[in-house]
Amino acid sequence: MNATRYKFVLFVIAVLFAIALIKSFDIAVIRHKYYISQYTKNVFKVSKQKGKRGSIYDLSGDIYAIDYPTYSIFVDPNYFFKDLEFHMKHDKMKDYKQKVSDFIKRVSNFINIAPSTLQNIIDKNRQKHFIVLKRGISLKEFKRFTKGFVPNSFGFIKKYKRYYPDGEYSAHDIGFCFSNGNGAEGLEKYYNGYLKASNEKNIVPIDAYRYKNIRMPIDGDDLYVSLNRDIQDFVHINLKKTVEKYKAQSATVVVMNPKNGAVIAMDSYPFYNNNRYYEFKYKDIRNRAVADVFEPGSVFKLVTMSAALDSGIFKGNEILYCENGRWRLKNKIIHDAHRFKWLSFDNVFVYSSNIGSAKIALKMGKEVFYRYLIKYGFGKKTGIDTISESRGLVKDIFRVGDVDLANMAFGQGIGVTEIQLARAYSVIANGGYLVRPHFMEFIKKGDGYIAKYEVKKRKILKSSTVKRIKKILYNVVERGTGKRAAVKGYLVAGKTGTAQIPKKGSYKSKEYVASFIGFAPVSAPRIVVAVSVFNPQKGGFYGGVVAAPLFSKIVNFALHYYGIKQTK
Amino acid sequence: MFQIDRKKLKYFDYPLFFSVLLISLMSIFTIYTISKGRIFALRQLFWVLSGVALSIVVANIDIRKIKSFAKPFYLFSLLLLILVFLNGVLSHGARRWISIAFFHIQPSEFVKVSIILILAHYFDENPKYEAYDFKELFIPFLLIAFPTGLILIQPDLGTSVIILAISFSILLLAGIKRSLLMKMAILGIVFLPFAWSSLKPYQKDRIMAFINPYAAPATYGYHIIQSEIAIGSGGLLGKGVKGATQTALNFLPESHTDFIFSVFSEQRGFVGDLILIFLYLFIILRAIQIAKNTKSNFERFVAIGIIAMIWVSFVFNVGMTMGLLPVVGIPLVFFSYGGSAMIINFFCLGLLLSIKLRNSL
Repeated sequence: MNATRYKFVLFVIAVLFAIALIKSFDIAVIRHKYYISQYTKNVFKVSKQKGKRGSIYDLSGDIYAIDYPTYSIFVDPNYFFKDLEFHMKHDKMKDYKQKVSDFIKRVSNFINIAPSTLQNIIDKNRQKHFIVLKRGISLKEFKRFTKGFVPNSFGFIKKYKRYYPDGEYSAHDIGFCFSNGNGAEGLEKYYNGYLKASNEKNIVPIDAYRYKNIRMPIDGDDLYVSLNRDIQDFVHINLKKTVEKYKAQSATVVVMNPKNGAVIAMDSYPFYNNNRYYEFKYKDIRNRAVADVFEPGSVFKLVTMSAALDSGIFKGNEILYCENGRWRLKNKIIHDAHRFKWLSFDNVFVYSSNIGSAKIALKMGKEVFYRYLIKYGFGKKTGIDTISESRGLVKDIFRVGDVDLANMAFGQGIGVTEIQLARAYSVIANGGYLVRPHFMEFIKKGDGYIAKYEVKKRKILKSSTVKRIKKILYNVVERGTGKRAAVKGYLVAGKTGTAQIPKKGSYKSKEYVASFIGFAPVSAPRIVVAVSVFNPQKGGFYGGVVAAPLFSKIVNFALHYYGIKQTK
Repeated sequence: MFQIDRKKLKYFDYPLFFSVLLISLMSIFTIYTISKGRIFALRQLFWVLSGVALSIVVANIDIRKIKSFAKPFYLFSLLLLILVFLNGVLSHGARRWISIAFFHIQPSEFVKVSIILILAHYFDENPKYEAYDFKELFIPFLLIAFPTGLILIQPDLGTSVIILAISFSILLLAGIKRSLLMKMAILGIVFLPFAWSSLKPYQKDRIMAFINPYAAPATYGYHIIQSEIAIGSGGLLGKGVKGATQTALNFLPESHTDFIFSVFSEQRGFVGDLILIFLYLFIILRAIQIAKNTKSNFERFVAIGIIAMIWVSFVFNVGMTMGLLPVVGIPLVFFSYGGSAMIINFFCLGLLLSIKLRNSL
């Protein structure tokens, strides 16, 4: 090999290597930005996808809220022509054009336009990538349609819609979602963090075949609540009947398991339908059982008797003089609905004497009374797992005089919520424990549990006190003001309440709250039911007349529903 | 013959051997990272190990013995080529493989080395001080034309180009009369339109794509655009294995064979390219050194043939991934996946090592 030829060969080799190096430097470093942008176009697509919001079930598997899919069909006109061109290149795909035109006929039939119109739309929008042809296609239609051939230039978008099968029957508990998928009311709002599905509006890599590697949105978690749909529906229907019968302004019912505070049913009038929430005003939507504060009246005497007995200031064998139904305390006159002279401690409550209760409260003093009021959790939220719960209204102890204390002893001058009252009565029902009312039993992600309700209870009353109060409450139904609350075949206990609704700071109006709160069966209480009917205008206004029958109906239904053995 | 000789150990060309080994290891690693590439990586590992063993064995064989095998080997490779037509495996519209037991053998790879050996054998046996004329070159032309034609109608444009390039460099080394060279060039230009019309449509598409890939980005421009995007988006330091989605998301076709350089570039960036290109340059220069130092004509022809093979394969492959040359389907030597190619490449490495050893002893 001669030297010049050798050098020439070396030179050619070196030059070509240099070219390779320069070119790769050019592509990879100098024009890097351009290729990165190309690459981003290539690989990344904006993907808007929303998962399925979690459903709400009760423990027996009844559905209260569920997302169901709807589809919309779209066409990518730009890709439509590319796709055709690509397939025409291959000899084997000659029938592809025919297939596509058949499909166009099918799809235009499906969306109810002429095939030529659809072809026109595609032809005219060659530069566009996304034209929605039809929305709101049901799952059934979607499945039937996609069985046949669908070219890649057509696609479907899945969207979920919220549906509440139980509608207005449980609307106050369940609440509703806005159309953007965020909870707005009730459990839907309170558990929004769990229920809501991830909203994947991400830039995600899509592979060369256009459909893999899409990050699937994560579905929301399922909420299981303690509600019982049968009892809830029964409550709803009968609440409606009661409201209609007495022409009430509003009404609330809470049915609770006293042992753990699980809410079995909760409803309030006025009703609204959460499938069409936008047609209602907020006053109809509000869950009055937790949000509305009212003066409870005689049902609040529970606190008076608990304080009296539990503190040991009253033994329960005292006899009180009830002033023949009219008693002047400083500048305030206290009335009784029925006139009594002497009443035993028990009968003060059985016959619901305001004067007797006031005297008991005055004897033990505001410190003792407040100790028990606070033990019962009045003036504080119960911590129930739903939104817009009120604390109630309790006067500051330093500003409470004798008249205020006397008023509070029979449930005036204090504001409570229905759920607070239901909880207070479950203390007696469960043997002296304060529980937390709740809806949530557990939350499931797929098949795994991610949250579970754990019962936390605190003993606030002595067992002997509880036993004695139980007896008093039993006698209320047996021979006192709450006779209409009796249930055939079961022993029930409870307390009536009739409170005037103050208007502009005075009690002169003829508006009343009729309440009955109690539990059954007495020996081993299974449910606590609280009923309050606001401003009944026809057929009576006493708690024992308006509220007690509804209580009785609900207890009767629930105890039979649970199959509890009859005792008499 | 197979006993370890201290002198042989001393004069063994370690730098050459280990740079080739390094490239093959990079190849296995790169193939391993491609989606669904694990099985290919394992097979490649097997081929590399067999190749290494083969190259060490061949390095210890006296090259003169190999010379005596040139004719039978040539005939054998022709036989294999004919077998492809009788019983070839159809893939991508071409018959390039024959199936034996578990393997698919690609006879055109064997032709690469057999053409080197037979031409070297011919010019060694028919030495001439002056340049050769057409009369003396008639037999070599036949020797070249026969397998090249067979490979062209498989069709396998890439391998035919390599074989022509190898043969041409050997012819150049042997010496061709200037007048003949001119005539060949004119003949080539005259026949170019006919050659164009005889090309398959997809081959034409590829050449058109080379001229302007963006004319049809979805079809024949696709390979080259995606390859350039892969290399370009790799940048200076590369995206690493996980970030190299161009490959992972199947945008890059033939990612483990012809376009493996793009995969490597996307993952390792320009710095990776630089290292790889210099490794090839080093191998070529080392091989030229071997060719230069040998006293035997046969050995020199063999070495030049091998150099041409490595060099053309490198230039065409890298050029095609970067859009400098049309996509003709030439694998990257020692790097692309392929059993037959790997074995043949290591056999050639063995020949180089053998030449080096014989001249050093």
